[in-house]
Amino acid sequence: MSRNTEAPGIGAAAMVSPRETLPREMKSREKGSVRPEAQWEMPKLQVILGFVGAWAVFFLTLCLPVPEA
Amino acid sequence: MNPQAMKTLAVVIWSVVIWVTEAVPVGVTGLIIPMLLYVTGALPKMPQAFAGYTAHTTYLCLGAFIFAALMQLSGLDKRISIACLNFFRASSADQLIRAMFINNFILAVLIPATAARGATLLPIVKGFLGVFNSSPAEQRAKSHIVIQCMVYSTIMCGVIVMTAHMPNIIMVNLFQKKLGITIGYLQWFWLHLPMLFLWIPIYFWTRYYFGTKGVSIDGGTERIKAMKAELGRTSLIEKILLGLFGMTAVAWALSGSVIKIEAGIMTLMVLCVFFIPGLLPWKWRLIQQNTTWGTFLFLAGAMSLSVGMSETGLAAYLADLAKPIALDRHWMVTLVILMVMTHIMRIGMLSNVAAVAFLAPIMLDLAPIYNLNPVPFTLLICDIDTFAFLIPTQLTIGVLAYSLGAFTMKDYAIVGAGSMVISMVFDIFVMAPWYAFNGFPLVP
Repeated sequence: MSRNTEAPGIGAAAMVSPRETLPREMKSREKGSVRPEAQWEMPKLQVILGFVGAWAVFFLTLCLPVPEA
Repeated sequence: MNPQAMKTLAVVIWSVVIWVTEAVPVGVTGLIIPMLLYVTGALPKMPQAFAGYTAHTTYLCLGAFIFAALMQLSGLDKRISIACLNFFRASSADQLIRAMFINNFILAVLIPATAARGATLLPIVKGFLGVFNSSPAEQRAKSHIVIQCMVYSTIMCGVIVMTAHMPNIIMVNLFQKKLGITIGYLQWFWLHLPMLFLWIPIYFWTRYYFGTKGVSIDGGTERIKAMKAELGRTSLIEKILLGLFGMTAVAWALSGSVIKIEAGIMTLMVLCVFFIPGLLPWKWRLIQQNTTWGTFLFLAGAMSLSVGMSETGLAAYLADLAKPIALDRHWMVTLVILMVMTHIMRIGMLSNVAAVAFLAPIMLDLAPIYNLNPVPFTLLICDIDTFAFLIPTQLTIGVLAYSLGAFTMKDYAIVGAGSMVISMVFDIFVMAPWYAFNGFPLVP
């Protein structure tokens, strides 16, 4: 695992230790903290229909001719 | 209709379908809506499309969300609730309901968003349900307590305090943007103060329906004492927060009138005091975890949509379409027709914010068509929209209350229908004259 040892700013370069420049998730791993496990689940039919329907109606409305006042 | 209005209509339809089906988290819709308004060209300038994010009232709410997070972290919200119950010696169902109404009112001043207040009340109400036995009278008392304390009281108190209910913020922002009328924190409170009395007829109706007059809570007083003992003595941070909240309330009351600074900016100034180094005993990470950022984004997005509907002329177009519904009728008949239609529309929507974001700009444009004053007209219709008590899924707080398993859907619907009729009558015969008395006559 390579470490990013570049300091974030010119002035700060001398003051920042390589440990501080580690990405947050690496620090977490070093501390032994556990990331939440990714869990996929099938969305409900209502959600799928709602999502697809909303975008379909959105684009359809954009394509419709503008009604006269 | 102009092309901008048509593009806004596409965004409105997208939003309504998404809100009804809950296909995208509501907080995320708060970001997508202004983006769609911008990329479709409905509102081609960034400040217009994201208008909800630059409104004073949005920051009034954000400050209130952070204050609520601090309160929940300290446990001050629970202490206030239990102190209130202890003060009123709740030993019967009636006393408990009355005490919880006053408690709800105090919480409304301190905690924005009805769902957040519901989350505070949930464990307390749940604790009380545990002391009831399983006799039919006590079962009905449980239903009465949950519906009254968690749903009706929370909603009614929300309408009275500007920051306690997000639809209030949407309307205040629209009045400012569209009509140039600024309604301050105190003025809103005064304008809606009679709503406190709406609780009385609704209380008697629900008590009659559930037949809970005189049902005592055996062990209720002991339960309160046990809850109080569990909390221990008031801590230093709770006292500090009480002082800071007091200062915030004074700042909100004075902003705009005595101090010529808008309430939103005033809120952010008060935050500077809250975050003096060393004053709060919690890390920012903990505070931000308890802040309802999703609701903030949702509110700002919904406000952007409302302003967009108004500015592109879509609201005026829809108002023109709705014109025949109640044209040339007495103002009371007009109100009744629109209130009933609003309630029908609300059956499918979980969110008050979403419903009012869509309705308020249309009402604002519909009022002049009926020769009515837009401010009281919008307030009367949109406040009624809030009292959607037919099924629990119409309100987030209703869903929370239903999770306690204390009432049936049938009871909720019957008692809710009666309460909705009472609120409509109250709106027409009390609130309309009250608005007129305070300079907003419905019929100019």
